[in-house]
Amino acid sequence: MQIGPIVESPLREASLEALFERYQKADAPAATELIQRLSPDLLRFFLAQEATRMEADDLLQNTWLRIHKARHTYRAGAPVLSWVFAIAKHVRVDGYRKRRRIQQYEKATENLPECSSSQDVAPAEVPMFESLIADLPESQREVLIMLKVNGLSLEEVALATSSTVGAVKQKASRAYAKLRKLLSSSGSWGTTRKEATGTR
Amino acid sequence: MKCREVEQALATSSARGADVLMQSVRTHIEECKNCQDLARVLELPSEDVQMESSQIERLQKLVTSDLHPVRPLPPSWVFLVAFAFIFVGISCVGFSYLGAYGWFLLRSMQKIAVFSTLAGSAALLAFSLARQMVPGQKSLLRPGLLPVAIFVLLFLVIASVFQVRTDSHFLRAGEACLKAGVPYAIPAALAFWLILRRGAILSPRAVGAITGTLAGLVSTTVLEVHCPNLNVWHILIWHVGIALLGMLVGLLVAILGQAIRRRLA
Repeated sequence: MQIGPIVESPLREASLEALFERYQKADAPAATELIQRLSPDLLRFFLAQEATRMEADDLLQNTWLRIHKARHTYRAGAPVLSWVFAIAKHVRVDGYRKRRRIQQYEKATENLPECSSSQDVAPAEVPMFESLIADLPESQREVLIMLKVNGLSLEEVALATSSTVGAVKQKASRAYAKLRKLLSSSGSWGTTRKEATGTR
Repeated sequence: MKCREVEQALATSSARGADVLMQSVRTHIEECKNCQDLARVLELPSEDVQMESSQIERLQKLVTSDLHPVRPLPPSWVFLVAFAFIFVGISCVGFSYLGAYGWFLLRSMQKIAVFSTLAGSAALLAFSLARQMVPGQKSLLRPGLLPVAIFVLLFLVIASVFQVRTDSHFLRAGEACLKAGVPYAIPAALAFWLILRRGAILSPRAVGAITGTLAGLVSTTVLEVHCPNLNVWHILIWHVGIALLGMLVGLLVAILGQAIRRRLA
């Protein structure tokens, strides 16, 4: 992941919670540090949910606008990641609805030549985590992405999705059962992956 | 150990990789081909995200250009107290103005069943609203389902403690109850909205429906104390119906608000 030149900042060691409290007090360096730390995770969250890069960038910007507007609703000491991902989850749903509305009003495009959006397609030879989980139901995919891609704890995912730790565990467990089925139905994937990921 | 237990163990480990797994789980994964495949999926690379420094700077500029100190929301109990104060306050004003004719006709069992259900429902709705003030809060029941669950509960309780009685002026009596009850739901809804406008940003429709139901329950409570008509259909349609109407109006206002905001954006 490249996030441009990393400038050493005295805030680098500060916790997200401490940074957010300073952000509420209009501390600009704390705000910029938060953006630097959280944006890649948010972008990955959107990209993992079948959004194109351009859509994901838009969703990221909308998320920061929403975070900025609602920053007073963050309570000191609460986990920042759950708060931020709860907003990101809703921004993604709103974005999806907006896309659907636009698609409904758009003119039919059957006559247009099909274009291959090469920039949005992942390299074919190594399957991505995101492409494997694409067939999972939305709620299970979301939980799995937060747990395994964004590295949130079970408690944080439960808060971000407004559910309980038990429900998150159940969704993750069901997602694994589905993944297992997908893997067994794809057959040879196991052996080819062994070669591809042999170094890991 | 069974494969199913491995799935559960993987579900409880949040980080990528299997570093935190128990020895028995690891041993099973080493021996089981199916579980090896599953564990390997979780070690797959996530799509590499490249963010230009200019993109980060643009976001930073977006946020810092409008940066001013904000006052964080008070704790949830403050909202709960405020909701309770509005609910009880407007209800008291209502039945002291209209008169408590119904209260004296109710049997003790009916009073306990109806008013404990109304109080419990209002508490659940207020609790849900207080939770929704802040994103990323736990909720026991999906906010969208809560009003539905409450209407089912009210229907069951009222249907079980009241009987069908002859009511020759069903429509006229209903109209009178509507006219008497609705004026208390409107100020309650406005007061709830004044509190909610500082937060509750994520699910406007659910918040609209819950607020409307809570405001409607103020009217239902006032009418239960005031109205001497104990016909079960009268209570279900004209008393509980106001809460249902409140929910629909709340939902409609939220949908309209969203549409207007979309137009303005």
